[in-house]
Amino acid sequence: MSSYKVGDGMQQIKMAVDISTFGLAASRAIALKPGTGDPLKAVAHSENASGDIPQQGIGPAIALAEYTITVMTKIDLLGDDAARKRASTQVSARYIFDDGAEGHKEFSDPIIEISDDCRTVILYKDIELKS
Amino acid sequence: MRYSILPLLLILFCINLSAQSLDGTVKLKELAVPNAPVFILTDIAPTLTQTSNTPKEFVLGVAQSFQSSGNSFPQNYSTEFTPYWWVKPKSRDVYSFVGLKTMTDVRTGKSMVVGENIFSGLKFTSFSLAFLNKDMIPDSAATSQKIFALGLKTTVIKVHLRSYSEKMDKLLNKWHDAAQEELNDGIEAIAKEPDLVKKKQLLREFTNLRPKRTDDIVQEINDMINEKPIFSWDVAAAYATYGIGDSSWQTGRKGAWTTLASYIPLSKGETATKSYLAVNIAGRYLYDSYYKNELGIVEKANSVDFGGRAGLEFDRISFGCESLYRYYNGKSGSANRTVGYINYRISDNLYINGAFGKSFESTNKLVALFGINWGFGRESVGLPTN
Repeated sequence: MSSYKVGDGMQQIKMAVDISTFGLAASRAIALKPGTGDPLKAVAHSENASGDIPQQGIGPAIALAEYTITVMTKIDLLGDDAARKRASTQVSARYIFDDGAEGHKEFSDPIIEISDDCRTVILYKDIELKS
Repeated sequence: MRYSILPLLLILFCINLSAQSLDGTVKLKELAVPNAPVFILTDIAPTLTQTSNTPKEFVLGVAQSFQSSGNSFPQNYSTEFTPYWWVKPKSRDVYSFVGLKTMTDVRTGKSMVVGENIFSGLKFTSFSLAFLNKDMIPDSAATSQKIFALGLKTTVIKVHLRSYSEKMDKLLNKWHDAAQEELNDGIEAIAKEPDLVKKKQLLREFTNLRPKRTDDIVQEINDMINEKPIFSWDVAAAYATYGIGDSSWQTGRKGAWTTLASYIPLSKGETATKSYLAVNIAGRYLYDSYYKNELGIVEKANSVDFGGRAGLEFDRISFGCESLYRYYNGKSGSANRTVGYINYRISDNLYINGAFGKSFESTNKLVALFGINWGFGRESVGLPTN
């Protein structure tokens, strides 16, 4: 699993998601502490059909350590079968973290699931936050 | 029994009547801007062409043609491609795809739609290219020439009513809100699954869900994309050069096409309209250095065709009138005609056509046609696929 060192300070950790697709996209990010029964925390979501999450603070480093950030993006592709098939191969994502102990770090290797009819693509990424 | 054979008899009747059409005349739809002008210019069947989806496919295709030819000129090879699909810019989004212009609000920092980008079609400019070994010179010698042809096609301007960008923006936001709810419903179970195999299985199931709410909105967006523009300008051009002998390359054929179209919606509403007052003007220029005229003499020839159509279009039925004029080597030709037409769409690929009017070519100067058109598909202004 991908990981990012946030450190143990009080500074805000910043996160952004950049989705590249010609389809309709919506992204949602949550934080979960694995192995505990703690409820999930909603940390960010996209604001329009680009699916991008603009850079924003998601919480102080000390509070985020040991959490896993999960970002899931739903993409609905437009057009006929040929257009959707082509567009399904042209989807990519960048997950960008800043202001942690590791400084600026980007991830670009989500799990990509394409529906059988190439109408929907789901991008899924877990990033472990370490102190 | 009587009813079951009625459609068959009707089709046979229509096909029989369509055979009376004036062979050899130019049809208005032939003047429309072709997707791959090179293939029109060099008479290549679409089934013999490849679509190069990536630079790798293109380079491999050319390389294999060189390899199989065994000399410095590739064996028959033709392809079409849109360079825009070859690159993967980091920030593509649906707004750019559907032709909306966005900017960031300096106060809120949020992106907002500010109108339509009327030049958005330019980025989808497509190219067609062919290497051929073919006898394109209609003389007595049956010798193949080396032919290289290159063409392009683009939409220079596409403008919708102002309400298009507002309606599209509203639909995109509606989809986004619905998709957020779906993500909210599914993300927790998937994120909490510790086993990677099971997690992927859950993702697979989530991906193949067909939630009606977002599906319906996607359909509305697709309908809106297919809404015809109030003005559009398409152009295409192609050039073919012939290798005569081993060293001499000469212009063989060249052509240019342009179409100006205007569709005025006849209804207003939140959903896409399918009723228009349609006006189209199309022009085509063709030049052939080796044209065999009626006397059997090979000469340089050119033709300029202009045509226009005005009429009303509804979901299944369209009618109006069209005119077509031809100038051959600078002189007014004999293929001019003005006719009224009516088309009825039985299904996406099946049309009944009718036409009546005046033709300058036929002896009695009257045209009466009734036919069936199968396999041409529904006319669409959708987004490019290659």
